[in-house]
Amino acid sequence: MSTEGTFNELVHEPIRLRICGLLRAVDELDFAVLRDTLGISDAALSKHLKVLVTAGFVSSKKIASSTRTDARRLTWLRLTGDGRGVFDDHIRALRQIATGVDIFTL
Amino acid sequence: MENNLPSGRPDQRNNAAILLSSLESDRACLAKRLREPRWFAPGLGALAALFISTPALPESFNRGFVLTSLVMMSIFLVLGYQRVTGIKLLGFRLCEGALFALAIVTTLFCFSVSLGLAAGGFPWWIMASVIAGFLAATGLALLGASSMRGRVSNVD
Repeated sequence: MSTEGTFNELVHEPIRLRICGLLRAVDELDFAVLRDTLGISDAALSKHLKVLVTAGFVSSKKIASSTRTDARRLTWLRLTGDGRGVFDDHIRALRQIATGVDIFTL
Repeated sequence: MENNLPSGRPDQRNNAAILLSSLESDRACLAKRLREPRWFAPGLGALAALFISTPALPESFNRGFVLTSLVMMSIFLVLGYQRVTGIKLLGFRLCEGALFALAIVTTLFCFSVSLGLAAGGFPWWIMASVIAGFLAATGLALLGASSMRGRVSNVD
């Protein structure tokens, strides 16, 4: 893991960055909680999650919900080990940018 | 949203600062959700109180069944809390582990007091150790929940 921070274009997209930020704070998070905290639609969240899952940064787990009568399942999301590493690196890069340090200095 | 570098430009620094700030406010919202199930801490306190009261049960009562039931109810309480909040925090930090250990020790101490009172022929005084155990367990659970909220909102 670089101490200088590594900028990641995929994670840098604002919604995806916020998704990773929320998942980084917990072990697992419910899809509905993530959607409500971000203030976006199910479809929009699913689209961004698909990108993150495909990249191997987020994993999902669906379980049956006894509180639902419509047989829908709960979806628990978590940041993978790779996702944590990439996100932490990206945050370091963002902090360097925010403080005015040029991370591309050779 | 800009995602290009180099970083020397003020608008880039400003954008990065805005992104970092949005992450902090998201986590603050998440931490607030952990405060919502107000039944959680008193629920744990009630389960501790039930355990402390078991020496007052008649001899014919199946204490093993009661204790197993209390353990199961504790598990369901935690699972219910996770389901309601939509957040899973696995494992304890040092502070939370210490609070959990202290809650166990306090409950066991109150239980031993109840045993002594029951053996000494003062069953009604068990109520005092039950109330003390309830208050201690509830207070420690509230402190543990506060630590968890801090963990969620202050991620490096």
